[in-house]
Amino acid sequence: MKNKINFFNRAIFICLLCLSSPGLAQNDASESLSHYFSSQNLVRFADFLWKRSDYERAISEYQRHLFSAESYNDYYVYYQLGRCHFRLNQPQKSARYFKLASQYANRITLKDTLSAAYSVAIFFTRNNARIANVLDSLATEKNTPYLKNYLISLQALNHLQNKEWKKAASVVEPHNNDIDNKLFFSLRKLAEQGANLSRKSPAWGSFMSVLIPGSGRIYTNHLAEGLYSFFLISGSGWLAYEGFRDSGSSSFKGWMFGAISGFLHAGNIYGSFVSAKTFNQTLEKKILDDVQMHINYRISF
Amino acid sequence: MTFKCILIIAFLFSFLSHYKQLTAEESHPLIVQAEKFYLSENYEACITESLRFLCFEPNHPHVFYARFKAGMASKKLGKMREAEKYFMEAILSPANRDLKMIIRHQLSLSLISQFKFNLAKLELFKLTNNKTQNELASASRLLLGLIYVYENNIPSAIETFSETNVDKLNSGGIESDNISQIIALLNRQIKNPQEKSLKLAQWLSTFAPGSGQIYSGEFLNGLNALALNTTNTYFLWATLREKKVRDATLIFSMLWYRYYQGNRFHAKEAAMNANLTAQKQLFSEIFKEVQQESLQFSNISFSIRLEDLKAE
Repeated sequence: MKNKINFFNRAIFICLLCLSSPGLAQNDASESLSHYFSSQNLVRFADFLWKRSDYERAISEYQRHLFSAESYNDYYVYYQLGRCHFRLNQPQKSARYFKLASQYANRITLKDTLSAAYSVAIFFTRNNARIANVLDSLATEKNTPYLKNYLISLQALNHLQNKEWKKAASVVEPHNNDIDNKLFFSLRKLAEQGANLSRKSPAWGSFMSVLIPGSGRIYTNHLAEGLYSFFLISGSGWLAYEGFRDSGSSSFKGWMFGAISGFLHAGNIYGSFVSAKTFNQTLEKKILDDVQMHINYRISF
Repeated sequence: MTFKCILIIAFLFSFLSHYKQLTAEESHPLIVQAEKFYLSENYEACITESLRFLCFEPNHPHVFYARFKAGMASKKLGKMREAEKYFMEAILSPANRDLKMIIRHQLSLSLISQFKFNLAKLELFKLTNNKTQNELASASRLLLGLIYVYENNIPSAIETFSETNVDKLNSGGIESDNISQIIALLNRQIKNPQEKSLKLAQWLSTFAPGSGQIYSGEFLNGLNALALNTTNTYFLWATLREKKVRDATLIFSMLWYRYYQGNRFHAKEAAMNANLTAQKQLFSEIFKEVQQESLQFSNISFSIRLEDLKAE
């Protein structure tokens, strides 16, 4: 009996010794940390970072989540990755993730939203060939009217941005349906305005300035500058003529004012060329600003 | 019996070490993780774990510490704007007043590095009025004085540096040689300013082209302006002497007037550059003295450690 009691006491002490082992405390700490790195909590933390506009960190956390086995088809995470890359001005990567999200999404309305996001990301890659290919290929799929109109508007905006006025008008023209009628009308109007701008020819402006100094500037509606150039160049030209008339070819005055006149005349010709280009750019800027406003409106994520 | 004693002693020893571990790790494991990353100079990871703590424990009493740590890590990475944002959030979180003063000090450093002197001054005013942490108040006063010197506000700079010496005397110490040297330099600047007058430089060049530039120390530019304006004036005078009024009008409008006005403009610019150079010179001299004075704080860490939180 005494031996049994002794054995029992020893067993209790050994158990108590094991329970107070520091190793168990370590296990508690690492288990509590691992709770924060569970799949669900990774997404929760990544969403927190997204709201704080810390996109690079959010990307790392979303990608960490994707590495876990059950989450490879998580369309929400792909969508968020696409948004993060878009906010970081990385449209190529953004497009890739939106495409993946669209592949894994199960509801049609979701697919539409994700396809629209994908098309916008492609739009911002500024690769015209790729934009045309992608928008055409998306438009041929069996899409909802919402998505179709969205893609058509993006095609038109792409053409307008590249100053391809007639192509933009042709894209929008045949689609006179009720959805987005206002939008198509305003895009058509922008295309018409762009095609019918009263542009000035830079070559013609330069040629006019060769014949009559300052006339190229007057051609681009800069009357005061044109008159000033005319008097300056003709005045220095007259002085050069006077110098050569009075003292011959060795006249210092003649050579000096001749050089000044020549320099000013060359500058005037170049200035007329640039002035015509600037005039055209100013005209187009108003239309391009409106186009940009429509593009900004299309981005809803 | 002997075996029992050994087991009891072993049990007590392991229990005590476990208990010590429990109290040592009172801090949240994410905070401890962030601290470890900070100490191993892995600052990006430190920021990530601090933010993770903020996400999952927004109401924890050590939220201010997580924000502070994220700010310190951002500072180490050179991301001063982010550091400023984290420090501001830390100040707005509930915390001990003394700890908040340390955070303010770090915030003022991040503001100074971004040249946001007005905001830095606001924080430094609060620190210099702090009576409980004398070293922090002294260090803040030095920073404030430097900002005044940078802004060329010499009287305020003298007043601020003088207060440092007054504090030292009041606390039973002696005046600092470095501070006295700084005050002497600033007083010299007031009595004998090395500033060039912009108006004088312009007037000099109005009557004698190039003299304004020479007055400001730009000899070559002055001689160049003198040569050009003299040549143009001679040309104009020669044309007028021959009574060629039309020619003289063109020479005056196209050549003479442009070079003359350019000369006056550059004279003013030269004086401004000379003043800027002198100001930079004074600032660098005073900065050296402040650096010497700051050596007394080299053993003091104006930061918060995890152990400080456990001690509260």
